[in-house]
Amino acid sequence: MEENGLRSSRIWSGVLAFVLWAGTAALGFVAISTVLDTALRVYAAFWGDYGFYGSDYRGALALRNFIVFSLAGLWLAMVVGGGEYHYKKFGQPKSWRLFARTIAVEVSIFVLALFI
Amino acid sequence: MIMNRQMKKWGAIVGPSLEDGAKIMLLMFLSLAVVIFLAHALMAIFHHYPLDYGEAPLVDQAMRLAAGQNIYRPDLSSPPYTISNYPPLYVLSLVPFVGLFGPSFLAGRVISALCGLASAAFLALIVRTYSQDRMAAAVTATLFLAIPYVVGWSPLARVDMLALAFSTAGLYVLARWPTTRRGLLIAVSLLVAAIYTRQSYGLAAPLAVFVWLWTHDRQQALRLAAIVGGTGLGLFLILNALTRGGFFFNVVTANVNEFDIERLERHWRDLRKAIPILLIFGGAFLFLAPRRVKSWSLLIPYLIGATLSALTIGKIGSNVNYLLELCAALSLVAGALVAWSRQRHWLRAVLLILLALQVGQLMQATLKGPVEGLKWRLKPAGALKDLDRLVETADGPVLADEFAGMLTLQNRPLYIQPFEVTQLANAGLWDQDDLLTSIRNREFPLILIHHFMDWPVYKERWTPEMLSAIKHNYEPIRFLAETVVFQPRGVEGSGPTDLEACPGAPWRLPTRGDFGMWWISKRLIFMGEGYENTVPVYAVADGLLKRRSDWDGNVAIQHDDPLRPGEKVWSFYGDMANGQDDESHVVPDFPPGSEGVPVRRGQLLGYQGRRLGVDGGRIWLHLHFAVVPALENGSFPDEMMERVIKGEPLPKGMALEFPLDPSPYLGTVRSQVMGIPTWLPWRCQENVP
Repeated sequence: MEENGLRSSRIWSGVLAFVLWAGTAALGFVAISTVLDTALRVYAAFWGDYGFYGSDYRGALALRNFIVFSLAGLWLAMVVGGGEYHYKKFGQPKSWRLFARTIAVEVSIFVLALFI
Repeated sequence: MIMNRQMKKWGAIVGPSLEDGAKIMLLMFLSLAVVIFLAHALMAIFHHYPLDYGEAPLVDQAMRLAAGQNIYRPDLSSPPYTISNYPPLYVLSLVPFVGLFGPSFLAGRVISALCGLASAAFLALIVRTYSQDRMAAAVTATLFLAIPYVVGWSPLARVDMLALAFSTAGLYVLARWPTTRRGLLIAVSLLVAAIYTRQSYGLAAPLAVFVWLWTHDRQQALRLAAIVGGTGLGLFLILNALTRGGFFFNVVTANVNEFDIERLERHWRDLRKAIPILLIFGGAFLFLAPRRVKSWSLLIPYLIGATLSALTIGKIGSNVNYLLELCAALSLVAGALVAWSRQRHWLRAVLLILLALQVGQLMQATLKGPVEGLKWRLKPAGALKDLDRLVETADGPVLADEFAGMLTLQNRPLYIQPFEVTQLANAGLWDQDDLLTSIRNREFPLILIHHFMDWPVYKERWTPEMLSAIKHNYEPIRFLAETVVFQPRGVEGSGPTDLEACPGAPWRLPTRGDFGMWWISKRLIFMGEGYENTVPVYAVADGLLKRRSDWDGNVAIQHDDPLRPGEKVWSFYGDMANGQDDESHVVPDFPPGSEGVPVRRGQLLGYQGRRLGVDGGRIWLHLHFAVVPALENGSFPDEMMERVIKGEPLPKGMALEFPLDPSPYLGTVRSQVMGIPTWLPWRCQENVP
């Protein structure tokens, strides 16, 4: 009976890990545009005042391109590398800790966007 | 049993994981806050022109010291009418740079910004010393740098950051080595240095270290009090004797400005809005810390002392620099609470999340406050250069307030610090007659009066007598970087100051435009001098008044058109209201809904307000005046005027005809520039057509 309980717990842990992995991947994808918004708002707060054709606009474009490419790479690394890590360390505290950290980063991005 | 085991297992994972997540969140927020601090500091440091009224006097004092002059003159009976408000250490730190590279704000700003960073580092070291908690130390330092007051003030060439760095360094030394003789001597030197950089630093840090030492070694505490008091007093007596009483006059007498409780309340409201969580932490710490937190005897007196110092922000002319010690104290408290909660995962997670939310709010306030302010200050680069050139070509002493630094940059000594001498004049400690005579004799080729959009600060910087003398003997010729440039009038009374109407004009002037007029697509914005609801607005000619029921601050008057006989024309008077709470400044004789009320030329309609258009923003005191053609049946063109006020496009072909050019009616000068708001001097045309 105890063995059955352990097996059931392991199955639920597996389901939870998969849901967390898929959820963090989806949130991470959405977070790219949120980071972009936040970064451009900070940029605009400092420099964005001189019109559409000014150097500020070109600066913002360069910043956007840099952020999009960097975060796209980071997101791929997170999905593939994270998936592999969770698969290898399944059920271990290290895996849950990585989930917690990933969620923390993503939640932070969304909360930050509420302020900036 | 299995369930219990599972719950424990999950609890053991979730608690630290939550703390871990909260830590990441806070560190992410703080990292961005530090980036904002650095970006702001770099932008400010490398700006060539003055960023604050208080920068120029300090560089000016460094120039005088480098030339071997006394900066603490005991009386102001002859020019220069300047005051050295602070003890000399910061000015002394500028002297080598002024001597080597000439006057500039760069060195002073770099010193201040580095001292801001150093203060953050010392705060972190204090927390680290008693808690050994690196996370708490990092939170303390970065939280301090995230506070908008710190961001805004750190890169200014002002005394405050150097004083704070000395003061926090002194706190650290005594927190680290409380009982050694060497520690005591170093700390005393630092605390005295802080006091001799800015005198208000003689309260919070000395009080904190005294109480801290008292709890460790009472004799050491008494020794500290004796040495700090003795050294401070000894230096004061020496400096005062060397300057023949000038040190006391400049540093004490000239600093006792009037206290305004409303100013204190306004800053308290701003503070509650900007740092609510830190204030709650500070309050909680005062009550809870004595039994729980090891460092309470250092932090609580520091917090109390810093709060008392902050209360002096109610003095007229004071600014957010009075809050810097309080910011340091609250950062220390936050760090202490984070350190105290180290063994309590859930509590620590909650604290860290609350701090992250506070940092989010701080960043928002920083971007809307200091960053936006700096951007506005840097934006009129062309206008600043023009102002610089004007000052450069001025032959003789120039009077200036906010941009007095233009003189300093050109290696010219300041003739006056208007705010300081105005306060002395108000207190009856300075006789302004000689200066007034010089103004009336038009001895100054230029006078620069800065006209902040959000508040008439010039009313605190110039006495009513000075403003009156300037208005009657000088005329505004340019408006550059929010500064009105006055030059001597050619002929006595040639401008509209003394006139009710321009010569030959069919209508009288509706109001005063002491600071000039803006021409915005044939509408005139008269910029009067004074506080809200004090500058009268009059009917330009006989007619019938209308005030729509939804007009807070507007009225319009229908007249027989003096330039197009047989036709009707309307004069429109707008923005006679407060932009904040819709308080109307129209006189009660004309309530909303008035229609066809007869008025006589020169009849009082109301007073200038600060309303900006229909959205209710606030701007300089002004009257929005327009001359509007009547509809065919003689009625007021409501729809068209609404569009004009809202800045919406007019029907094709109408833009040239609506509203009418007011200059033939009033006789005032007109703009040749169409489509772009243009500032014009408040002047009559030589020949009204």
